[in-house]
Amino acid sequence: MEQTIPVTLPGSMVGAAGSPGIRAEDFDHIVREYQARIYRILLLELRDEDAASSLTQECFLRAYRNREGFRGEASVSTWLTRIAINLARDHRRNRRQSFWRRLFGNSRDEEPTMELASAVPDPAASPERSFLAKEEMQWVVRAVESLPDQQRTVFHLRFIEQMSVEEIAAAMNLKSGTVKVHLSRAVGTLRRMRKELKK
Amino acid sequence: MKHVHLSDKQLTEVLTGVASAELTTHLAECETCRKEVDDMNTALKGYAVAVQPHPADPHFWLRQRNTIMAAVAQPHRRPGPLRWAWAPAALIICAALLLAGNPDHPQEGPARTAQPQAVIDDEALLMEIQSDLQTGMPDALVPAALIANERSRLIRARSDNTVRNQ
Repeated sequence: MEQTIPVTLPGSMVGAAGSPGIRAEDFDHIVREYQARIYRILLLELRDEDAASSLTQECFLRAYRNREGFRGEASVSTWLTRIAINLARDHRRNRRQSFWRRLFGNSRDEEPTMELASAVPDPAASPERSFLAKEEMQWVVRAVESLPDQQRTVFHLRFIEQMSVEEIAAAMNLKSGTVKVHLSRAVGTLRRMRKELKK
Repeated sequence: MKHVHLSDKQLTEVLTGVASAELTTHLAECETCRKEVDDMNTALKGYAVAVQPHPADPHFWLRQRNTIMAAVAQPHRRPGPLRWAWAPAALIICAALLLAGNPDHPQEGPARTAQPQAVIDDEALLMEIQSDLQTGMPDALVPAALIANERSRLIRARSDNTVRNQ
């Protein structure tokens, strides 16, 4: 289902000029277009396939119920991303609260870890190449895992979802300057881990 | 800038495609920085490919879309304008309960309702006493009453004889 995801919704799918909102009959197309992206964002945020799947459904349900409130100031993609990030944040918060109720261990250890899709860049590659590619990826995975939540979200939205700084700022309700600082720090962390690997 | 390598901020600008002309020039001249940028770009591209979700279920996306559309088709009950209508009623009930339990008004309600019955009981008791007084005789006064009655009868008989003799 991987496809080129348009950043903005085609004009025909948004209400006529002067009448904001998304038409109910266009919602199926929106789900087709953006479900993989929203699922991927949630999976990277939560590293939990079940939670990512159920929150993807919740994300679209909320979007549908609030479709009349969509003013078109941001793209549908940014709008959905914002809903997804808020859902992920609430989910993380609930998970941590339940963790503190149990009073055991470290919260990071408690979070489920995602299998990085076997870290195979090319499905047609030989097992040897696949293994090497997986090994190559480990330092990046470790570096990204070590980032604070907000830095990691910014990093993923920029380098995985290819969103601009302004779109990230709109989706996360942050200032552009703050997004740039988060990006710079995340890249700095990756850079240091790469240098340590090279030593 | 030839011997000063890229800072984190500058490296980020290069990786996100917003490098200034000055940075581009530096990269063209500095092999160390160019190598670092190439390595980072390769790592980021590899990571982007590696984290793509590959659900085990081949119908995952279709199933998920169907679930979403089924949920969307369910009628959503928005809370109506009367959603807080219960609040005033609850307030009134609470206020009534508070007043009922207020120590400034100790059992005022029940006392008022019992009052008419108490009045009736008191009046009946008084009527009974009065009736007893009028009709009855205390046991201690019974002999005196007999003597008084006998005396009255004798007086009446004497006066009757006197009238007859005359």
